[in-house]
Formats: sequence, C-alpha cells, structure tokens
Amino acid sequence: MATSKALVNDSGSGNLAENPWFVGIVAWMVPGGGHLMQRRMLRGGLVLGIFWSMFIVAVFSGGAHYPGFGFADGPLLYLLNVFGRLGSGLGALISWIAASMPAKDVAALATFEYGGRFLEVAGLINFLAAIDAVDIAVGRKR
Amino acid sequence: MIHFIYLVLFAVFVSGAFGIFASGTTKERVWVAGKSFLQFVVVSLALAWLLYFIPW
Repeated sequence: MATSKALVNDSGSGNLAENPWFVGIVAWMVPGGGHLMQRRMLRGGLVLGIFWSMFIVAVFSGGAHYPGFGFADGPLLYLLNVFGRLGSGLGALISWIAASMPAKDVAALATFEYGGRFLEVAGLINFLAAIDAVDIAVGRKR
Repeated sequence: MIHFIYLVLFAVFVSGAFGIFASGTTKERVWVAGKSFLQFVVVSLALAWLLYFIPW
C-alpha cells in the first residue's frame, strides 16, 4: 500500500530521476542507466561493468544460441531462458540478433552451457538493478 | 581449466552484484561480496570433489 502510494506521488514530480516508473524502465532497458541518471555513479558504473562483462562473455561463449531448441522440445528451460534474457533490456535484443546469425557447431563448444547461464544471470542481475533503482527513487533505499 | 575460469568469473560477477544491492555501509557491502565469492568457489569445489567419488 505504501509502495503504490509512493509510486503515484513521485510520478507527478517534474524531475525524471525521481519518477520511479521512468527510472525503472530506463534501468531495465539500459543496464546501469537507472542508477547513473540518479547520480549514483559508483553503483551505476559497477552495475554497468558487471552486466556488460557477463553479457560479452556470454555472447562470445555461444550463449546467445542457448538453449538451441524450440519451445515444444523443453518448455520450462525455454521459458526460463526467455525470462532471464528479457531482464537484459536492450541486451536481450542484441542477444536475439546474435542468435539469428548462424553459428556452426556452437552447441558443441565447451562453453555453450556457461554462455547460456551467463546471459540468463546477467538479465536477472539487471532485474535486481532495476528494482534497486526504483527503491531509491521512491525513498525506500539510500 | 576453462570450467574453473568460468566458475571464478561467475562468482566474481554475481558476488559483486550481491555486494552492490546489499544494504549497509561500504565496508559491510565489501564483506558481503567477499564472503559470497568465497562461498561460491569453496562450495563448488567441495561439491565437485564429492561428486568425483560418486560412481554413476
């Protein structure tokens, strides 16, 4: 109740960095962006560094092609992957573009599974970062 | 060796994130990240050794 009240009140503010909805969307779409627009430079920089490091390792490990099968072949694993990837915001788009490019024998790489995990966990970390940025915007966290 | 490198990289990144999102002072956050990193690595190695001796 207190949360929704705070969200409604802050939405009316003129400063976009104090608008939790806007901060949440920016933090989700651009990893680290939510904290940076709130002038939390160290926290934003660390989120940005951690997320993109994981993302780059994931893509170069073949993780963009993970799980390598369709929804019908393994719905649970497939949906977990989609949920994890969606957390990356724009990164999800980049990973799906990378996945659309044919890569020969990518599933045979020793790092294929790791890449998939890194990509999913990078997205989950960005979900946490977006929630953290919203918490700061509504004043629940400093 | 590549598996261990990935394990350490994963532990570094995820522990770093845990440290960032933890509450408390900077010192407490560094402690959370460090403790989490050690737990990731030590528990993984312990499990790896345990599984090594299980014949399946």
